Amino acid sequence: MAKLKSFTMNFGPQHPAAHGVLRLILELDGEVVVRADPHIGLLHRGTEKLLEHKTYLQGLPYFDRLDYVSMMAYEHVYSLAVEQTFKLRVSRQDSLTRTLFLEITRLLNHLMAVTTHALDVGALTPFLWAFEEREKLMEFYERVSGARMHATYIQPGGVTNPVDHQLLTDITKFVDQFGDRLDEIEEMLTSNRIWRQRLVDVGVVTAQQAQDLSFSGPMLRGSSIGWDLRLVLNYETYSECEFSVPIGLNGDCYDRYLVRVEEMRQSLLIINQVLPRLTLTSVKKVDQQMEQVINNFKKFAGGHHPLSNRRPTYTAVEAPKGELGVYLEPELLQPTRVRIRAPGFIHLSALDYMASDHMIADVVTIIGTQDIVFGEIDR
Amino acid sequence: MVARRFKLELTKLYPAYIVSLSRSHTVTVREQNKLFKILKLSLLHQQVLTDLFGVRSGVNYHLRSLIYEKSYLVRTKPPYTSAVGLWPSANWLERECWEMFGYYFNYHPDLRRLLTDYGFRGQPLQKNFPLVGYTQVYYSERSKRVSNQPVKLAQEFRLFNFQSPWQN
Repeated sequence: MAKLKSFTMNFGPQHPAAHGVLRLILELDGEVVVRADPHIGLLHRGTEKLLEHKTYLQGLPYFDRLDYVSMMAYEHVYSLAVEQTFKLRVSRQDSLTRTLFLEITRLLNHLMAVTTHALDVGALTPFLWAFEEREKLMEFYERVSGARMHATYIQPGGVTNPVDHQLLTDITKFVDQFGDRLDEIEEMLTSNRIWRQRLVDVGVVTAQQAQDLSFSGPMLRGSSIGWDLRLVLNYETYSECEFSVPIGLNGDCYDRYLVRVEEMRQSLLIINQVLPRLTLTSVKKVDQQMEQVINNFKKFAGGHHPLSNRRPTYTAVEAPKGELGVYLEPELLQPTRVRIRAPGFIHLSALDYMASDHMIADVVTIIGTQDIVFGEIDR
Repeated sequence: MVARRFKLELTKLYPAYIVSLSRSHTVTVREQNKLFKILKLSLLHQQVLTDLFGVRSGVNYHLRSLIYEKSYLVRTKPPYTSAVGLWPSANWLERECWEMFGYYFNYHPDLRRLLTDYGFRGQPLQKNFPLVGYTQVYYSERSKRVSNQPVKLAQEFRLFNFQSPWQN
């Protein structure tokens, strides 16, 4: 009988470690992966096509549902794209509110990313802790927009509702205790022997490779490239905040984990800087609110506005997962083409590269470190 | 200052091929057979392929220089040459382009469908493709398998786009 050289194994789409609906065809030589061929598109909803058939405002809710772990980051980039097209200006208070909620979104996303990664590798407990924290954060979402997840809070022209003092106080309370929760999670993982054995030197990507593979976000920073669009593009009020961009040194899964945890701490720092400014600007709340209602009514109830910019625009932000871009070709009532540059899509396309010559168990680690969410990959 | 240096660099990079270099940093490639050369030059200048996507008029390459912190679009028309040899990340992006618009990339190592269903036909992002598609998928209890049928909707797709009653 001929000796079996390599065989093919199907992984997913129902496997819990596949983070959704990833179907992976693994070509194996024993336990070593020779080739990994992801089959995606099981969650493809044709968002880009649908957006061509919706008015600018009707398109917004689709963005919540793309990356359903960091909803507001997606709303935000679309809002920025529409604002650029219509030359809308955002008030300072709204801009501060956006910064606040974008960082809350980053916490939401990284909590999910780090702890589901830990869950895949075998540590259940941090996952449970993180979900408790996520619940609190989603409560902030709810209090400000009425929805726990698909908030549609950040809209072209600003945010839907101003934040109130009580909410700001509660966010302050949350931020004060969250550092300790992070410490607890880190106590369980960072120096944990099993965690390190599974992550250190797995899925190593050098700086040059990370650039060739078009990585962005923590995936790029894990490979020791200090690149953060929040600093480069200076959108919203990030230029007023002081924060540092953590980078990894070895480019392995462990470094990317450390980068994500440190990014959460930096997010706390940013929130801490935004909160007092927001409190100061929202003193004359009631008057502004009426003014805002009138403005909103004029803007949105009044139907479409003449376009001030007919040129296609590309808008990018630093979403928790990486560079998130929207290319928008405007027309009078609807966009004629919307392209969503989803970071997860590009990271997943590098899975074959990252997983080759690793063991099967490492594939799970690598999927986890890529922080894959299928809503945005399949679009 | 940085932006100006970047612009200079760009004009040095593409002496003959630039049609327009607008404020939004859009490069339109005049000679199509030079595209690969241009992309290769971009790579040599340490530019990262941020995105590659189809639009109605052709394929756009979105390149970014991590040194100058600027990005620009390269617009092209067919024929297209695959950039997988330059940036491995172009692989899936070109596959998506191929399935969504039907733009063919020469020398692509593995040009298969990516996001649509197995056995899907048509180019969904082309303008003549209907929004609801041609077929609908359902599980047939009688034949005990998933089957495709011509799409049947109880209600037509409606576009809610009200003209403003306040306009004069």
